[in-house]
Amino acid sequence: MFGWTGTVLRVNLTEGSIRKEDLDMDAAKKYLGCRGLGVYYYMKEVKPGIDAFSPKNNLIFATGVLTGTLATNSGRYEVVTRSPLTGALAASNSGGYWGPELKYAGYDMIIFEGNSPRPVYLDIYNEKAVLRDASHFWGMNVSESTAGLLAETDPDAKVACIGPAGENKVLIASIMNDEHRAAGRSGVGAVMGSKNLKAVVVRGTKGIRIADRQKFMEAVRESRRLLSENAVTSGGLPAYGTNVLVNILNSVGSLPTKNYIESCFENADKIGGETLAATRLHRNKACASCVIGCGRVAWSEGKFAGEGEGPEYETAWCFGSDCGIDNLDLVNKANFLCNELGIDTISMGATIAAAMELYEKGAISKKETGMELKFGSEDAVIALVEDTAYRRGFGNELAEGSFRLGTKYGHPEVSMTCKKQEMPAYDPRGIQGIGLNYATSNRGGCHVRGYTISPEVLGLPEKLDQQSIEEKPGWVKGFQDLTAAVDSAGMCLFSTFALGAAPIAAQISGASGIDFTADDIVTAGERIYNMERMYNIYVGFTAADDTLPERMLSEPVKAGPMKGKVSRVPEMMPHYYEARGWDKNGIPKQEKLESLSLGYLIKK
Amino acid sequence: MEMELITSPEKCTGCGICELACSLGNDGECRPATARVNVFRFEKGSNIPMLCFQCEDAACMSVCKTGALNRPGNTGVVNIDPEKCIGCKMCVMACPFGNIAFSRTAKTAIKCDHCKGEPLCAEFCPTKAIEYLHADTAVINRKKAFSAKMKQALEEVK
Amino acid sequence: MIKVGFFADIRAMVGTKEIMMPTRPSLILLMHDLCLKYGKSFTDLCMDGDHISRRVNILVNGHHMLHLAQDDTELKDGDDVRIFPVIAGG
Repeated sequence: MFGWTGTVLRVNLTEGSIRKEDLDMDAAKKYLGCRGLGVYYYMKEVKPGIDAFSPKNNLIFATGVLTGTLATNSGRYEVVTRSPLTGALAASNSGGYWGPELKYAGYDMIIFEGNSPRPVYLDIYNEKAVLRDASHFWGMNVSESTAGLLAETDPDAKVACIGPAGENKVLIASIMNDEHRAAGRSGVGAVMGSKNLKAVVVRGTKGIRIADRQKFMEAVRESRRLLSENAVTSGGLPAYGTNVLVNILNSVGSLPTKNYIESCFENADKIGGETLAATRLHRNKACASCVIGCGRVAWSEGKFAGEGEGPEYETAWCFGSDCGIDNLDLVNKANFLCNELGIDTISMGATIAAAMELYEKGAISKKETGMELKFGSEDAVIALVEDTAYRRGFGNELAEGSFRLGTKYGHPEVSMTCKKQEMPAYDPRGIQGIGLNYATSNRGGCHVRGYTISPEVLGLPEKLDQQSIEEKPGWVKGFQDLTAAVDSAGMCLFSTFALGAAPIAAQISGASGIDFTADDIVTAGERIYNMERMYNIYVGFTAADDTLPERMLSEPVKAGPMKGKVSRVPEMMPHYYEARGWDKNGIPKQEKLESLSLGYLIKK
Repeated sequence: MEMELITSPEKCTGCGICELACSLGNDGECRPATARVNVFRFEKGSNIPMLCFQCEDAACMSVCKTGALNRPGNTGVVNIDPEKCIGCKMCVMACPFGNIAFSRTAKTAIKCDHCKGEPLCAEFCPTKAIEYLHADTAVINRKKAFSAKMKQALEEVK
Repeated sequence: MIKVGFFADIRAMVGTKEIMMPTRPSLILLMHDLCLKYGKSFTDLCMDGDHISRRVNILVNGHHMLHLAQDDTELKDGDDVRIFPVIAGG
């Protein structure tokens, strides 16, 4: 067995039983791992529409064929389940070192079934896998839990765990691994909490076999060359992290400000990557096998003093301009706090921003919030992040996400969500393609699933006009498909700033011994994308859900270079469906599914 | 020509690529646990790569009863002759740094041997935290980098 | 005057975040002035011979120069020019 380990660990939390089974190799070849493989297994084994907190909702931790190998930037794994926030599939990707460790222990994937009657954690050391009592960790934040778990198991183990937010089934709770890395979106932490599963601790000392060492190392060296010649992966990202985008997005008039009421933020520079690097950065950091090193080891000072890793661009946006705040210390502290409590920063900041708009509209007041909550209320942000994790006071409302919050207080229009998940950081009125991606992302408002910011704003691989719409459907599809494949292989998305499908296919071929061409990789991605789409259709999503918040469609940008613009997603949608081979209702046509070996999905 | 594998921990990002290249190149699989170089990640982003220091007065060599541990020619590298190694593991006990181990699969002591002249860790390290340099001038770049700071400081007070 | 903003590692290269420059009729002429002012490393980054290189993204009033008139993009008094190296995030 090369690349993959060939073994899946299946844990029934209701019974407390653990067994090993062989990996479905046919599926592995079609879906590569991580996102694709996790979604495949999930859809095969769980009836669509199961309540997210039901014991019947499986929770899957899946690595990819390349995870843990010398392949470039291949330290990733995915958490797959049904999202309690959106009702769609959740597939949350994370880096750090946990994923490779699972492979070194000898497993491609862990499938958790059922719910445990008591708090437990899974302790894996190579072949030995045991469920242990976690009641003494329940209630602890991420760093305390991690330290305690390592002391109890093995100091060199890697820990993936939930904080209080997951335990309290906060719908925007994340799963944190290696303390500072997040499987952030869609409330995967809440599902883990609903299962009474506190953590998965892994120590692995085995190796991953490579089919053709020479071919593989040649492929890696070629990818290394491309990555080192690329200004993004070799210069910008390591030096400034993703946060370098603050000034860029602001300069092109597409930095959502005050819950998307505005699109430019005067003091953007104060919360940007240059300022972070100059004033609050210890150094950069890399995930397993990563040549880029975009991670930030940072701190904050004064009233909001703290230490930790991050913030990413979307975090600086959501606690910064989206809340009308220009204080980097506040942004950093909110980020560190979310990591400690196990909350998705994007959905948290965006939900607070929605609450701020409600407050300024007068739809809520101090009676509901317990505190002043105008845009710019720095202290309130910190207090509310904590309250959200513990479902205290107004935090209990925020814990449900901005869609339910806005609806409850009679103003659903303040929720800047797609399919109930908060859109991040790029104003779709200013940038047409990313809006189309938000509207069609299978997990709801998400930028990474089809990061057309790359061509539209950054000019990579070529510069597209932010406002053009004709070519965007094809580009969005292309990015979505390649991303699905890259996610599934276990490789970090950022490698695609420098690598196309061909060098990635070469690495997968060398590692696995199976010949994958660039086309095979892109097709695998398209297959995965359509498979996810079918799940959403089964649970009742329709073309009507492939849209953006009304504000994006009908409230033009107020000022700046994109003044007067609205999103033209409705115009692009029919062309996107066509490019995808879907009918006018957004349902994949039979011939499309069959061409992707997904014919079995039609019968459902 | 004597070469040195020199580490600059301040440049280490903790990626662990050295462990992967080493284990894949020497043992045929990606297996950090048994690589001859390992990275240790501490708080505040401090990362330390550890590999054999090829000590002048090597403790491992002095306890080796069979001569399996030897330093041929003038490469400066302490080598292991697996034919002579009896697996007593005295070298493992003697090394104060933990830089030599016993491989149960290879049935011999293992340590960094510069990959016989083309060290993979140095080739694959993305940040030059590990470099393969001529022993005589191995630290000259470090000296030069600091001298540039001194130049700048002196210019400021002119 | 034209406001010129610098971002990412260009800031360290030129030693400032922004500067006011005398108005020039076109972007390429402004770039020539900046190259003269900031020297070799700035010029190497921003120029390929007589043309603006693809190693930088230049915005004029928030619009990328590639979608305007590229090197010959007209400039007028009060314009806002921003120079970014090719960088990214996610």
